[in-house]
Amino acid sequence: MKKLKTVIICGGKTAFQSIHLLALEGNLSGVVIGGKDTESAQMLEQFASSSNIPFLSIHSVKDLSQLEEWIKNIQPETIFSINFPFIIKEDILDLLPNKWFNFHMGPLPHYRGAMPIFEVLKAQEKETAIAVHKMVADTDEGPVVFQEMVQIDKNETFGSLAIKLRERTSLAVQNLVQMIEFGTNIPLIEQDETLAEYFPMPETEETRIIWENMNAEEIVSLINACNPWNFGADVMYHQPFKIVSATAEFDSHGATAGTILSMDTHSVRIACVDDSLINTHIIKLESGVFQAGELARLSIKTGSNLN
Amino acid sequence: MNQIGILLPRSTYYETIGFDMFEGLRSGLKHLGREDIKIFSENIGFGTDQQNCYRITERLLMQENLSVVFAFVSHRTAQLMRPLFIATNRVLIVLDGGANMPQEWPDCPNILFHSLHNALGNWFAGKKAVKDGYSKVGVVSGYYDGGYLQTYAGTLGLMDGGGEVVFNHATGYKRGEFSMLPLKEFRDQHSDNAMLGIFSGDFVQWFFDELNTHFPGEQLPIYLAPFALEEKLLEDAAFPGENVYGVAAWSRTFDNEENKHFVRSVEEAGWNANLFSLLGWEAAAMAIALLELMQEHKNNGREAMKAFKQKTFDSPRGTIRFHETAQATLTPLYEATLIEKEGKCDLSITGTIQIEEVESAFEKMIAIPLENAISGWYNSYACI
Repeated sequence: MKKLKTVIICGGKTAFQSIHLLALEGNLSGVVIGGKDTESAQMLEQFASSSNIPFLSIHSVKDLSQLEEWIKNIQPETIFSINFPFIIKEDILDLLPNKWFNFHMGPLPHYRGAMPIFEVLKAQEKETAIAVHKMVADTDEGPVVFQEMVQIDKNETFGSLAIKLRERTSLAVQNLVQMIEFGTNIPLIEQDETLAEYFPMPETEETRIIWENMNAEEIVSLINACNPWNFGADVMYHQPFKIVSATAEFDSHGATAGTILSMDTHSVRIACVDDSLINTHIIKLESGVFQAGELARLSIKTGSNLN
Repeated sequence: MNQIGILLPRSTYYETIGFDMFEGLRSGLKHLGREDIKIFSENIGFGTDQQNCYRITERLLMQENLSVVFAFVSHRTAQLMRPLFIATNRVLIVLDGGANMPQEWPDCPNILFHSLHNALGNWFAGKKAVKDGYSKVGVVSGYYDGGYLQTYAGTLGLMDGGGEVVFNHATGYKRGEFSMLPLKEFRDQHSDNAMLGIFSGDFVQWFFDELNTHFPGEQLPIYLAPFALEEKLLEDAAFPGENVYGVAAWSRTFDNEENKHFVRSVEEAGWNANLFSLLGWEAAAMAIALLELMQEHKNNGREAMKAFKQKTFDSPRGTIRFHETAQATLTPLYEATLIEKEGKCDLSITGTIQIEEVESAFEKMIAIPLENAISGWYNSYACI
């Protein structure tokens, strides 16, 4: 049976397993990497070269015109996008109408945007999805083929969830190839716009702990959602630092949220709203990553308030 | 809508497999007073033509608009069908021989595996061999059966009981290449060892013939997995000796009302009461429950499946219930001994492995990493 000629455009490691799988199955006809992840780009270029597969690296948006020519040369039958960092304009999509599919790392239409992994963890979701959808000019808005559901474990971090999604992406990629190869119609379900929400790239405001509003579980979820890409959740106390790792506890402490309840070398207990508290284990200062007790370097002591 | 789909296989050595399965389903629905449920049946051959399996499923879901489909397919074919069921949010119940390890099954909230648990039965067969005093065991399998991880499951069960595998032999594919001579050479030097045998279909009869040829009167201790203890097949197999045990999934002699109804209904219709019609019969009760739940949950397959997993079903082989986290059913298994009946074989059930013990072993087995061990076959089990 004739193999589907597939190109993968990607942003780095998330796509590696899928690329290897498609190459193994004889479906891979080209690889494009976008962005400035030079290590991933080198690894992919090496792989593509040794596998005799066309390769293109695009460093910035203005280089996207190269993609147009490259696709015309390769003439793939379908193109899969996995964390490709640049928006593909309509004129390029029109080179292969209805044949572009995106693997979005969050459920659609609820979590559109650049970092759904961060958003689902921050929102304390119990499961997320890889949403496989047709690409249209508006980001993350095309009709959905299927959503590969993935459980979110307790204390899941951004990093651990990203790895989990990476492993499942290759399965979803394999499934989509088979659907196109074997099927007569790809099922497409329009997204319900009334449920849609778009989350832009998180800024410091979204990664900062707001002691007076957030209970311990919300804070720990935020910390995990920021680990490791932002190192941890941001705190400002005379100078900025980050909490990398903490656990949530409940205790009738009666203290104002943000108050240091106790501290020793290994842990710092900080009061949160609703009689909850976080037990902080690892922090990041400007000078490095330390056990929580090193907050003493910032003149933080029992009774200090981080607000 | 009162309609379901079923993808039926064919097999060279279980010639009536598709008919048996269909009749089990039809008789089961009739027994439960639901003959109004329309069955869309499709033949998928050996289950190896992926495009055919995909297109049939696509048509059942997208043109016939079915919400519940049963299929006797391999885990690979289930994997292939998976996105269709996710995309349409419908449910697939895989009817399964259980030759693979459950770790290979696709993890999907829209798919559930209802299995005869051959691999798990082989785990228990391995454990029983050790319990009976044979800590060093040889593993012999047919060319075909040896390509599934049920062989690995037997080895794991053996090891879990404290035993070890000291000999391995997989036979040739055709009768002329099927030989137990290597086993004889081994036995000549290690006469105190038992054998774990993994065979199905014609290979069972060939195995017993070879035992009678090379080990006449020796009463070799043999432990068998469920498919080798299929009673219809044993009726034509030469009795190989007094020391043959195993773990069965079901027996037509079970003295429970559900089994009596099952055997009578299927046989009155002119078909075989066997493992395949059993799967069909069990599917009937599941189909009725699922159709009701799909209606209740407005065709949301994932929600219907969550509710479905809370149910239990009375089956000819005991109570069927669902594993809490795995997308799989569990049933009791049965210890059995081969007995002679006019020179041929019959089955005597000697004990019940209660569902709690089955569940405990299932959990132990699925927790074991496969470490790159994979099955070699693409076809539905027993379909060659």
